[in-house]
Amino acid sequence: MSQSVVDVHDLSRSFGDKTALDGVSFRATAGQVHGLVGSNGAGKTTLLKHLLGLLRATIGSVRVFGLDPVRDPVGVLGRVGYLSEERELPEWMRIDELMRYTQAFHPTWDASYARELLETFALDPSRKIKELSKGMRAQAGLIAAVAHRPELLILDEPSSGLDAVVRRDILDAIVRAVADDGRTVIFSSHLLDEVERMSDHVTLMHQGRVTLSGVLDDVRGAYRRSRVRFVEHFDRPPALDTALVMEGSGRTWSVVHNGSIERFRHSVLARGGEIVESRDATLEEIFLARAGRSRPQVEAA
Amino acid sequence: MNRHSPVVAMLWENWRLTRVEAAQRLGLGIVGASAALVLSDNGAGIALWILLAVHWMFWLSISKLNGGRFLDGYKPGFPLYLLYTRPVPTATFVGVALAYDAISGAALYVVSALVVGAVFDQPLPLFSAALWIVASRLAYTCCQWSTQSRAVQWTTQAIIGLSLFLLLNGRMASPPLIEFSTIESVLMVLLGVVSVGLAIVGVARQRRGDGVATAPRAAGSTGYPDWLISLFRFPCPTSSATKAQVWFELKSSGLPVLTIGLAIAIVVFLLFAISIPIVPMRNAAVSGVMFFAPAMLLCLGGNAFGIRRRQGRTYASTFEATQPYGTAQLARLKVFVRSGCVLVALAMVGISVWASSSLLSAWGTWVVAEGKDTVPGLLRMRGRIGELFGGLTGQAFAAQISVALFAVAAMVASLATFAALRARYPRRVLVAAALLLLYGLVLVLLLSVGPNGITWLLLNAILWATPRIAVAALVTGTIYLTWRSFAERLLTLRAACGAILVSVACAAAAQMFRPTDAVGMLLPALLLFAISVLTPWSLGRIRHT
Repeated sequence: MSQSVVDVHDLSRSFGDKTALDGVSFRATAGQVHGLVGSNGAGKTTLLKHLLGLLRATIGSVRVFGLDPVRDPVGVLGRVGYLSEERELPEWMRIDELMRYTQAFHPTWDASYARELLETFALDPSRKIKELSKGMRAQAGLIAAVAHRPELLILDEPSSGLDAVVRRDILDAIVRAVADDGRTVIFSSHLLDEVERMSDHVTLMHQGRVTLSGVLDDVRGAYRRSRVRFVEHFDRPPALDTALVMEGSGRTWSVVHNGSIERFRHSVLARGGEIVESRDATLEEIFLARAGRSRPQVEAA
Repeated sequence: MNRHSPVVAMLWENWRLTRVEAAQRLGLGIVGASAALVLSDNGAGIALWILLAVHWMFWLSISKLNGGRFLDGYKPGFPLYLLYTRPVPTATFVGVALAYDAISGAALYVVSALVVGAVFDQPLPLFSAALWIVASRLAYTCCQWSTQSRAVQWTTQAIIGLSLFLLLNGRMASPPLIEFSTIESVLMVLLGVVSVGLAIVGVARQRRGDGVATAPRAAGSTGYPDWLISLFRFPCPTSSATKAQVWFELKSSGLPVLTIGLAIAIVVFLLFAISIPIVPMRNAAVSGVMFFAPAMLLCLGGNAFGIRRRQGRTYASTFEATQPYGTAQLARLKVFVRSGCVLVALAMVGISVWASSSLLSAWGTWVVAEGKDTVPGLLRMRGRIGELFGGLTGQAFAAQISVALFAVAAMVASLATFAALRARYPRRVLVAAALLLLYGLVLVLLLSVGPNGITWLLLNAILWATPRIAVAALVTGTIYLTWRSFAERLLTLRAACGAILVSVACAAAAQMFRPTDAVGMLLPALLLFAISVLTPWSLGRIRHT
């Protein structure tokens, strides 16, 4: 088994009476691109802030490169690149000053890579951060995060503010290049298509808990969406083995299920129905099923 | 107007934002006025001035409506521009804010005056003072909100503020009474009405023209205006993280502090020079010197950690917190850079004051009150200060410089620590402040009873116990913090030994000027050591929440 870059064990965190993280365990190894998916308030940013030492682990433990990021911020942050969701950068700085300032903290800074990215994004180094649009600010923050070629790149909602072209062509390329070098990327996103495109591992969070985590292909392979037709008319969704969410009415129902397809088929036959169509579920369908949401939301009985 | 009307909602919003500040002001006013009545022979007059001063100023916490940036180099004009997006006429949101500000301030004054008056059987003026507060607050807010020209803002405010102050001062009678004539009262009402009208018209103009241009920025304020930071351009060194961080501190706050110090030094000299031909300016020159230095020390030495404020939330910069730099080193560096800059700024002001005071002899005579010439007294004071510094040996002078350096560093560190703890533990700090106020109130009430009975015994017991409790808290707090700092790797043995040595050396240097016993020397050393441990710990609390 490859060495852990990030190891979070049984981490819980509350803010007042709101539980942000509830017994979260999470592991990432070198070379992985790990997508964190979850609805608003699921605890993604709270988890990432723990990895950076911005929040201290009161219950549970966090280790990054085997170190506690709160006790050893220099040891951890020197090997990490981070792009925050708020894109918070000193507004009075110019872009070139931001680059030089960040460079001073990272001996591994690759000036030619930084220049190349500045040209790719068409950012003027003499412009002040406060004069930048939200997207340009995200681009500047991204360069500062990746130009020292960090061993771990943490991106909190990296697509926010970036246009479709930059998102698809440049962000994907940067993330892929980092992973190809054997380094690790952890990013959070609301955009499930982006997670499917960029990551090879996925962790699904809901209400402060990890509801699903694993290799993306394995996760997708474990869930199917099937359309079933019954002879009998059902006012409420019929109980079916391994079904997570059912949508529909009357005789035709659409079901997201996991586990053995044979077991599911037997269950459908036992209720006097048949599987009309079946395919791998998309990540969005899995996400909605695990988060307990669908349109209309109907839990399997 | 029903329960769901925008006016009620906005009034509730204002109350929600200002209620803590209202409670603080109420407590501060009552305790301050009570203390004045107990401790001073002319207590009634001082109590009235304290109450007026506490309730005269607009609500600082209403700025939370727009990210808390009243005093942070905000764009001049109507500061609450987030209200532009509300589907209500300009007159509604401006009128509600103005009315709330003025009436609540006056109401709090009346409540304080009634409480103090009832407890001490000392009637204080109600209606006239409340009218003056309403007119002052409305006029002040109108000057600030109705125009985007800083020159117009501050000129009109200086004229109207000075006029209202002179009016109040002239109508103050003894026992504390404020007697405005009918015409003056009508004029103040008119001033209030005109202020409301002008503010609404001015804000409406800004709403039509500048709504988009003044959209809030994405990140919180960095403290000093951008133009001030941009005055100095020098490249960030890339050879080490410490040099880069020093550059960051100098650019973001250090050099602006020096610039402000230089500007104050020049203004002080100019005021003294202008006062030679223009006699009325002498008041401004002398009172400016008396108030500038301490106010500057507090303002420029504050917030060394760069705690940000946004929409009522206070927090450390994520950008700085995620740089690979140790928390203790960061705290030390921030405090040292800021202290150095404040000290240089203070030195510039001090030299300017000294140079300016040489112009006093050119003033001729300056009669302030009771027909007495004040200039000879000021010249005598200058001579004494000259003798004091002139008589110092080289060793004593060096000791004085080092004591001043550490005093400024201790103040900067304390202010930074307080800001960090207030951001991290706002409720606990609030409770501590309330307890201190309560303690003051209890002392004042016990003193007011006089030297008899059980209350006097109780007062003596409190006065006996207070320093002992304070010392015990200081010792146990320092031990606990030292232990926690070692556990969290904020403190190393080497750093702890260094802090102890510096604290003892500073306390020993202070002995040269005011010799005391061993306890008198140990306490300042302990206090300095406690500050040196508490400061990085507090930054750690806000960096890793």
